[in-house]
Amino acid sequence: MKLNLSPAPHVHTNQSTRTLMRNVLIALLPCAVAGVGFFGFNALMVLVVSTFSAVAAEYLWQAATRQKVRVGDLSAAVTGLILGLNLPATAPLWMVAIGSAFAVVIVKGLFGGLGDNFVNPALAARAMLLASWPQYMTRWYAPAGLAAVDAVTTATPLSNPGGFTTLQLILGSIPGSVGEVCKIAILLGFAWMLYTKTVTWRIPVVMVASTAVFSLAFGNNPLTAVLSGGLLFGAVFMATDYATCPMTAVGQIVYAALAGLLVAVIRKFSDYPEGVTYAILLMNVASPVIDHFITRRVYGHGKEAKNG
Amino acid sequence: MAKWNDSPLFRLALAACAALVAATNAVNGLTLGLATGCVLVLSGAVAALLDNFIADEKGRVVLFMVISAVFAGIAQMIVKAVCGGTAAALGIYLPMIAVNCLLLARPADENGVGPAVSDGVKQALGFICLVTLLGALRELMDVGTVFGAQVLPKGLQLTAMAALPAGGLLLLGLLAGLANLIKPKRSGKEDEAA
Amino acid sequence: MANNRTFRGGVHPLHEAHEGKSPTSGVATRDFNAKAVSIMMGMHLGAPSTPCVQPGDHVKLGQVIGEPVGFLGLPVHASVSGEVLEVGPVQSVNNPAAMAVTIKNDFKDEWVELHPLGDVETCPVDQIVPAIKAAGICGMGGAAFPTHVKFAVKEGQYCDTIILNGAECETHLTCDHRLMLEKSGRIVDGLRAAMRALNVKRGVIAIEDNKPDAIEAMTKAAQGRNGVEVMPLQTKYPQGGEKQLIHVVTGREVPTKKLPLDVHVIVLNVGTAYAIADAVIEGKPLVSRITTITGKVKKPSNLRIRVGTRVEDLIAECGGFSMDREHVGKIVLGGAMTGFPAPTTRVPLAKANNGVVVYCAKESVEPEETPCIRCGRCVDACPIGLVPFKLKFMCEADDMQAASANNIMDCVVCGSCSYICPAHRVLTSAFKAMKDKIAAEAKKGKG
Repeated sequence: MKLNLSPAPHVHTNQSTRTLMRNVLIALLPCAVAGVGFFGFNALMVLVVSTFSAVAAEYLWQAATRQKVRVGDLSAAVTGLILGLNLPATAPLWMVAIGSAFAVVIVKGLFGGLGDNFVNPALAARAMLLASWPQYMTRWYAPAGLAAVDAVTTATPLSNPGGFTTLQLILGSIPGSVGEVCKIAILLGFAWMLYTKTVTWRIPVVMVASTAVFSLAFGNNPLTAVLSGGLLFGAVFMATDYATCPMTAVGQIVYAALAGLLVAVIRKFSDYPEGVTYAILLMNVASPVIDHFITRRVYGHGKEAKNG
Repeated sequence: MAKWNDSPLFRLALAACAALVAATNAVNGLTLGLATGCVLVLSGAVAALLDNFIADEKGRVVLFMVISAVFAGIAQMIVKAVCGGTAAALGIYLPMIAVNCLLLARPADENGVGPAVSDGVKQALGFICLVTLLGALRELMDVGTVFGAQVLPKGLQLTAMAALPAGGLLLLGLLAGLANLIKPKRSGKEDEAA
Repeated sequence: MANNRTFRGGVHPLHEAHEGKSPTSGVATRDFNAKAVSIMMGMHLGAPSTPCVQPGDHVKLGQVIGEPVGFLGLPVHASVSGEVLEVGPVQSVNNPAAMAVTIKNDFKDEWVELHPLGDVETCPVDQIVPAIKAAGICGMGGAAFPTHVKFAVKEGQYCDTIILNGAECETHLTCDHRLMLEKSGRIVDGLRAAMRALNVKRGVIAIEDNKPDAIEAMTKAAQGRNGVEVMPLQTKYPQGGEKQLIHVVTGREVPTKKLPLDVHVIVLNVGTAYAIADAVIEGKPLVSRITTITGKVKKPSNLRIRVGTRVEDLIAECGGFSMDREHVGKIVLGGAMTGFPAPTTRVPLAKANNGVVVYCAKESVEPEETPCIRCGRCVDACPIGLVPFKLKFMCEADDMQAASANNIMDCVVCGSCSYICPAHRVLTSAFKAMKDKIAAEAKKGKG
């Protein structure tokens, strides 16, 4: 009889990094299915290439730097799929692969790997792609179903406010990137993540509410503002990335509120039609500052600790 | 290898701002580098000459700023006269050589004119090479030319981001990483012994 | 019905399996008298006592076999009557050479001459604390702090509340639960004795609300007893932790580096209160306790054991392992969150060992530690308000200064962070090691 002498605690939660990531992948499935349904075969290829190249890039990077290869924890797959869902269905596949590699190797790997990325990798990759090849990143085609082969470029709801009904915005039969159009799919995914306790309600709800409030303040229809563009997708799937949001509840609320404000400001006052990418990236970078100022009080410290 | 450890862009991370925005092609990079380098060497030499006459630490800093401002002004006039187009492309970063951190961060030199000049020359050479390289790479990736000579097939644009400051910063980081790979940083203790 | 106030953080280990308590919570305690016992001299927090018997001596039940040493010293008593077989080192749970007195049980249970003080409500007040010390009573909930020292009130201090810890928030353990069901009157007697010793007006028996029958039993026993009340608490780990208990029951927080007495509170385990009652009413020293033996044994039980009983005897009494010996993976003394793994089955139980949990090999496989994903679950779980993932990085870098500055010394080593971490980071034991290191450095600096 050989007795194990590992220290307490001797019981652990069932959740692991892999199960958390798997739950996110499942939550992304409705968006993926809706995207492929609306944008056809092109969208499917984008998603497949983005996910596969992210996993391959992580494998190669970890092997080349002689680390333990951990693609099994599915974090690269999540990054790849989120990036793919953020791109237009017509994105050239070589560009998609470069974006995935950039996200996994430069934003994540060079900074220390899982948990050490300083901004959301998929979002940073999207920003890099937009800056490098803007002509490919702004070709939006109207959804034409699975049979879509050739289509005509059209303007998205953000460039053409009022050109779509609210129902269209909710269901997703609008031009946009693969994953962001169908709001119902996004909400389904959000519900799954809440049920499996993968994320808490705070960041998505506060960010969406904040965007609505500030959009109203700037003179736009709040409902349309919330349902247009990548706000819902960004708030649910990208602002909630663990490594780049604050760790306290109050900190997260401040983070999400400011992100919403930034989205409304960028949309209203800048040349960009879409503000979600940069709003979240900016708040990612501000997270450590938020964590520095908004901390938890330690038991026994501060004036709440009675002293005789 | 003192040259590497004092390398302004790669090790000391100084003067990056000017390099990122202004050095968008090889010619701009070279011009900026030469201008900065000359001002660096000359103002360093003059400051070393006048060192003996100023005892006060604060006075020395003010004096140095005045000297570098004078030389920067001269450099600006020369560059404008020689290649006005480049001067326009460099924009505000040409007169800003006066307050370039690289100049202001020079350690107080007690050893006299000779070492001050040779130190300045070493730093300047490094800076010129690297900023020209950066500019050349960015030009290559953006429009496919180097110093105006077409290298890549005409019309092929690798990436538009290289010409932007963001792309420049990324490229600078990658080059610095490459430099670290080739010549790893030495610890501080070894520096003092060397 | 439960107190709405709860502490921040905390986790619910094994919640789907009723915290592992269902095999034993409904089983009545039975006595177990082993063939031999090895009573260790260092069962309490403080210097080990000096043995004062020799092999060949005949000892009576309750006879002093170890003399106290130092301010935190406690006397050690024979838990059986019989012949002293050996006085020497034995392997204990955390000490490969713990001095112990091994006695062969003659099963006569001949008590030594006892000096009872009488009824707790009428006995002389100033003799209560000396009786507690003479009985060798230490914290029975696991901490093993000499109880009489808890009553040492310094100049300017006073105590206005005594809390009995009936929370039993640890997984698998039901010994306190059974004690509250079976000996509720005696527990209240012990509380009353403690209250009278320091003229304390309020005594609170705090019980987690997953034990409604115990709440009912103790409420009945507390009726008519001066100043004694029963307070049900929300079930959450680590509600039974001293700091959390004080905060929820009284609303006060123990300031860092201070003791409960600095906020006028004394906390005692219900088992300790029972031992106090035995000492005052019958003059009996601490020689037995209830221990929960559960996990992969054939008959999980609560046994009233004699101090010094070996683990192997307990397992045999519970029908032996419920699988082959070679598939036994781990034997934990205590609960799953804070228990110590036993190196062999021959280790003897001490005064504060409240449980033995047997794990099979499959259950004992440690999950692999993977990189931190910064999910922040550990931050949410910490009942003290620390940031465990950051402290772990400081421990990995061996940075004692940063760890100290980030309040690692306030960590109560409850295990909540390690439990909840999805990356299975080794947190709790790393913090314990760093805390020990910092304390050792501080001692070196002073002495």
